Amino acid sequence: MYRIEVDRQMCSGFGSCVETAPKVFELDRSGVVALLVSESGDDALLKAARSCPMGAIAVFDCENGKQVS
Amino acid sequence: MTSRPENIVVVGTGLAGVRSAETLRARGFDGRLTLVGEEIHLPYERPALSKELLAGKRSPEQLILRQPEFFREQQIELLLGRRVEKVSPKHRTALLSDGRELIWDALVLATGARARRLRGLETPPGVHYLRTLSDALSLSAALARGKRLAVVGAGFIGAEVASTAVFLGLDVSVIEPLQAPLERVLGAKTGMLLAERYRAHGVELRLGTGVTGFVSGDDGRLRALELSDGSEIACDVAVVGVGAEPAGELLGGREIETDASGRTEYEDIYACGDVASSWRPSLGRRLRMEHWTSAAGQAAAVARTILGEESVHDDVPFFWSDQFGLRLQYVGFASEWANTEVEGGGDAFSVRYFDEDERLLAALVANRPGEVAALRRELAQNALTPPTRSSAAGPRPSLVPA
Repeated sequence: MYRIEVDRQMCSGFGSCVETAPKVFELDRSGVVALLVSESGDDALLKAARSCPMGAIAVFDCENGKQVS
Repeated sequence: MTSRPENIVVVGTGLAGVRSAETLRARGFDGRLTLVGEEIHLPYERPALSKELLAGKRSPEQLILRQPEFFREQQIELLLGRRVEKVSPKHRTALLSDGRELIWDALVLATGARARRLRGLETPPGVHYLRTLSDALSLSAALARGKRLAVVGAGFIGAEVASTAVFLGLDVSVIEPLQAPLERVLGAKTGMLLAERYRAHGVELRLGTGVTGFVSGDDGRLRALELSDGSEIACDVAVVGVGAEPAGELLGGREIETDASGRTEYEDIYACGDVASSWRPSLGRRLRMEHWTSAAGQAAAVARTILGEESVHDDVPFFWSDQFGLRLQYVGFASEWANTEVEGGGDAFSVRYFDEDERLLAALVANRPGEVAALRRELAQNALTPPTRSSAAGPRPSLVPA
């Protein structure tokens, strides 16, 4: 499982995370990223985090707390 | 170079430089890695300078991209406050302003751009440019003392500074030689929509007017701007936002041409970010962009390519701007278009730019963030060639023999 953190101040509303991992991310009404879940095992979210041009998504491994993306 | 490099030097500590260095490490590069740049500050988020930083909503510390521990942990040697004076493609060296010489077997030039200066005009104290954190801090102090701001140039920087200054309670004038704000990028129709918005927020907008001089008072400080129509605008602070110029002089020019993977005309020298004019397979041309997303994408492609994982950057261009209560988001690229469609107005609108075959080239949305993703998909499908993952990095600038 992964724990996800998003930096809403950093988000510019590009939406690549929503495209890559729609079960995890959404854009709220102001166009800023919001989390649908705070933890997930969905591997797409690693790709989503890397696809963020702003680097606004951090993913941690739940087991050891280490940042993986 | 056929084997993996052991010594990589990245020049420039903006987003493109930092992102190249961190991607090199993330993709397993374990050789020596040096990141060197002219600015004295730790790498920071440049887009926030004209927005949250000037408005006092975020401190300089909050803009830092990566803390010193990050560079230590990643074993990236960070050399701040040092210019690279000279690069020798032949000897594979880079000479720093402190006299040190670095050797490299791959070099990444991410030297960015500088604020374009008004030439031929004397600028008394009180006239500012905005490009770096140091610029922003000095402008911020001036706005805190100032009462009347004049902005020269209704581009993105000008508009964001004007918007922030209105928020801070200053009287603001904007002077623009074209007939509408952002006319060159967004067209006259959209520019007029924005002009209305600026005026509704109390901005005095002087269109079709140039600045012919800065007038200083008895104390030598800025007192007014002199305009091409003979009038004067009183102000105690001015900001000049007339574009940026790429800082490509290390290779002898201004912008640095690259293929879609960031290779320059010199073996093992790469460029990315604002300085790079890179091949865009989907547009069939080279293009220099000053977008955060382009810098990030190019930097990642360069890092992977250096490590032998051929990678191209050809994502749909994207940028955003916050001004006068509007979040503008622009996707795609259109330097000219046959036709535009405007929908909505006031607080929320979108503009689509089409070519003569009714093909969507680009779109601007204002406070309609929900539309961005679908527009981006449509634009990606419209691309000349399917974007990304094609191995074709496009034409490379012809190699200069070593």
